[in-house]
Amino acid sequence: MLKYALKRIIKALITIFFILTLVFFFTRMSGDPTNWILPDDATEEQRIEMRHSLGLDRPLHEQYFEVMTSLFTGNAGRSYNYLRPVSELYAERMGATIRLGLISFSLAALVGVSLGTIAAVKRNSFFDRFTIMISIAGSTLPNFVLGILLVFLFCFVLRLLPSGGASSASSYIMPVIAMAVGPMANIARLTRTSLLDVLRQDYLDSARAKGVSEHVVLIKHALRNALIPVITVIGLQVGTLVGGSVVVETVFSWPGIGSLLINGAKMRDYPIVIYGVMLISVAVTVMNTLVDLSYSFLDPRIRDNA
Amino acid sequence: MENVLTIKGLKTYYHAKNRVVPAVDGVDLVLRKGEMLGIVGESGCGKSTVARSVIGLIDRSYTEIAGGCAMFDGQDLLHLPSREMNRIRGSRISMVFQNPLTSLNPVYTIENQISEVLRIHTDLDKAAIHARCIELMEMVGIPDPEARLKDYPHQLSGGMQQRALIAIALACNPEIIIADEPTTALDVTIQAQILQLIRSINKEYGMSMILITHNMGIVAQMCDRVMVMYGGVCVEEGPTERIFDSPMHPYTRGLLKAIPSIASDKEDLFSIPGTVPRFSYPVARCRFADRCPYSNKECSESEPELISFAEDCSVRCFRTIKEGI
Repeated sequence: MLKYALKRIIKALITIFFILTLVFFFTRMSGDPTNWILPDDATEEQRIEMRHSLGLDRPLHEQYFEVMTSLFTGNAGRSYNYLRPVSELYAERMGATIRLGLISFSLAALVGVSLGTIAAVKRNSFFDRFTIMISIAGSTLPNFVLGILLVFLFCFVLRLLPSGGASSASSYIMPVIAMAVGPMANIARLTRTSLLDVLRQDYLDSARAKGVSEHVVLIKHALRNALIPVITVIGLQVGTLVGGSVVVETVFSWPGIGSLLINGAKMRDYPIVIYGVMLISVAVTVMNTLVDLSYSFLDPRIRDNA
Repeated sequence: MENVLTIKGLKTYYHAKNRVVPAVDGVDLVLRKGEMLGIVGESGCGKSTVARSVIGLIDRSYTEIAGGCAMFDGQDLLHLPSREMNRIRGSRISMVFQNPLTSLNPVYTIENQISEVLRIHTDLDKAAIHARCIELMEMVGIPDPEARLKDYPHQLSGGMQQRALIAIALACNPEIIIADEPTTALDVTIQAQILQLIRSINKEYGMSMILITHNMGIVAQMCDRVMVMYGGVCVEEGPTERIFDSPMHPYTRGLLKAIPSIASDKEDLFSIPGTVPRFSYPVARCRFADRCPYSNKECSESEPELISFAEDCSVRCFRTIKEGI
């Protein structure tokens, strides 16, 4: 078990290393940052001077080595535009993203599992059909389209909610919905399918034959088994959610790391882009690793083979 | 002897798309204290449905109890509210199922699954429940019970899994145990051990048992009385010895002839031609007529009654009744 965990963690580190390498070369290929830092009428000398002070005139492999070592030692450099350490910039905005992510994620998991469970138990009912319809719509509609539709409806037509920012509780409503609907739909669909399969199993009849009441049969015996594959999907949805936050934060001008990253990319602010991508890839790989490891806790049959 | 379970006119109908399938169509059955009653018949003849109707394990979304009663301790099990039924299931009537691997929940330990039934029906404390689990494991012959209790179902062999399920069924000292093909999914050598265990439980603890099987050999070995079912009805009933010595119904004779024997020098094994037909309600003919070597016009025009011809003995066949017994 320990060996398996160790293997997973090493794999995760290698993945992150490759992602950062790719991002490093992509940023260097993306254009000259001085175009965004200096005024349009800056002279060529000023540009060379600026590139030199940012260390961008050094050979690529030297830059790469420096960036990578600095990332792994925790000093990620300064933003070209904000002129402050990027770790500080991200730390300031991390809270807003985590709050939005956690709320959306909990909502997606809770509502998704509940909808899926009710749909499976009341199979072929109106509610079941309704849930299938909603979840197909939800999982096919991209979050930025949903976000824009929400802004249009609630902000411009009904004038109920603020179009952006994070100033009040009501400003959470639209971003949370935009982020949660897709993962929620996927979770609901999978919970339904998985539970329908479990509801046919013999061990539920054995439980009933023991005198276990029907709701305990459903929760203790059926859901406990049905949720094993669902947990994986919930874990993987965290990746989607983090990716989604970049887009949704931009649509709703949410003061989180997603919008910081997008702005950094627009202005070729290399340190911001690299640090942001690192944070997101660490979050996603950590989550995937946890999901992988949680398997063996959830399913004793896997524990022995791991 | 005292009757512990009396079923009268049990009718369980499945509602398929455009028709009603009478899976059990008027079955009378008496289970006496301490006896082992066999219900025998081919797949699809309604034997499991009888058991499941009695214990309330039928899916009400497509199954209907269309009539009859099952009296147990002054209560009709067929029309008991689910709360009352839960109190009886597992504590006073329990069941052993056909496939041990799929009948145990894969994510809980054996101890969890045995103790669950004790937690529901008794007010024993934790230590007493654990002690009872150990005792039950010993009763069903599982070696090293302390360690096996911590195992998950997939870590046990099929025979051990079935023993664990029997331990669950025994846990609350029920008055009746219904075993639905308890050995069908097991190896032949293990089958014999499990049957021996079931037999010894029946004898030692005096529990009344219903053994459902399609295997006449098992019936001969195990049962005091037999009910032969075909097409949802009882076609013949009687003490095991009588059924084996002088079977009356052509179907029973067919089943007996189908037992392979080392003594016979025939190369081919006997089988009753055809398969169990799917009947639609109402059935107004002898259900076995299509496969019966003796059937005539009368058999396909009206249904014979179940006629009692001696104590505990009855048969449902025009020909046997007419020709005398």
